[in-house]
Amino acid sequence: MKKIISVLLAVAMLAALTVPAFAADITISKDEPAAGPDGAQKATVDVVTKTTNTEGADAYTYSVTFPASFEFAWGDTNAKSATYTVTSQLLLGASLDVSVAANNGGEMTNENTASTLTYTLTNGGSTHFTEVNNSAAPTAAPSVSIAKEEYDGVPIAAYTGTLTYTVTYNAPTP
Amino acid sequence: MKKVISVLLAVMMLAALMIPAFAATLDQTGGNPATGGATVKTDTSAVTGDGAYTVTYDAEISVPWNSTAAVSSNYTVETHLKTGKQLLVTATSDGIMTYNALELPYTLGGDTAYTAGAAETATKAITVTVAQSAWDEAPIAEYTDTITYTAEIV
Repeated sequence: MKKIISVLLAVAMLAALTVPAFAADITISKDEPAAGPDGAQKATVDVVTKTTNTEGADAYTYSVTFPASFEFAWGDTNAKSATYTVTSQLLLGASLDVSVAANNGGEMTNENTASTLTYTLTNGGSTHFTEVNNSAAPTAAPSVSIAKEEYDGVPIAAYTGTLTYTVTYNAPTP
Repeated sequence: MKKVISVLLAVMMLAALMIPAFAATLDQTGGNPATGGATVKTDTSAVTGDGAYTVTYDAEISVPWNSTAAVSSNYTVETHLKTGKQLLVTATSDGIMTYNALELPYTLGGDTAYTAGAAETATKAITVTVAQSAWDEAPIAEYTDTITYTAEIV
């Protein structure tokens, strides 16, 4: 019994002494590596960044911020900016495509009437953004407007319509 | 002093955390592609009353002497009213043109009443007709009368 316990304790002690296989240590010892002309022994270590964060998740981030609503006083024909800003830090070779579209062709409705208003979206086409952006905006800013003839043809009421912003993330090609 | 600075720092931190209520955001957690909607709406709070309208009509209707043909006169209605409202336009007169004590009766006809919708532009016409019998009994003169247009939002 004593011999068995002794063997088990020896194995446990050996296990405690083992060095983890993934810790590739570099050792400079006497004569290894050889000293250079200046008499010094040198060894190099690689410093590497990972593309995952400390929690192991993909490290890339992006956010696209845009107006939540546009309000036109009745009869207002001035265009309102529908632009957006992009802040991103993506993988090398990745990109974003951002576009704006008018739902149902810009139709605005009111539940108390069959009449509809139509707003016009300008510069809603897709804009390409590369990896790093800090509140970047599209060069051709999208805008929304309502023409006078649209107001003139319908009863006065609170009409509503919707714009859709779409963000597509393009992963780097392998 | 330390407490004052602490409070100020706390307020500044809270201010930095506030997101404007009028902005929306899409990010990498929203799926790919990610989509978000923005509302486009009209605001009628500055519109006074039930809206606006115009009724445009001829300032004068001339009837050639001894003509029994109906003389037409147009009026144009343009409405910009709130949903559910209409504009009632009427043309009325006592039907008698006068020159001093002399009288020349006529008939007012055509679109003497018209109801326009909330958003409408329409041209209508009234008519003035003098019967031959009326001409025959009236000395020649410039007889006049007034036609009254009334517009009411209903």
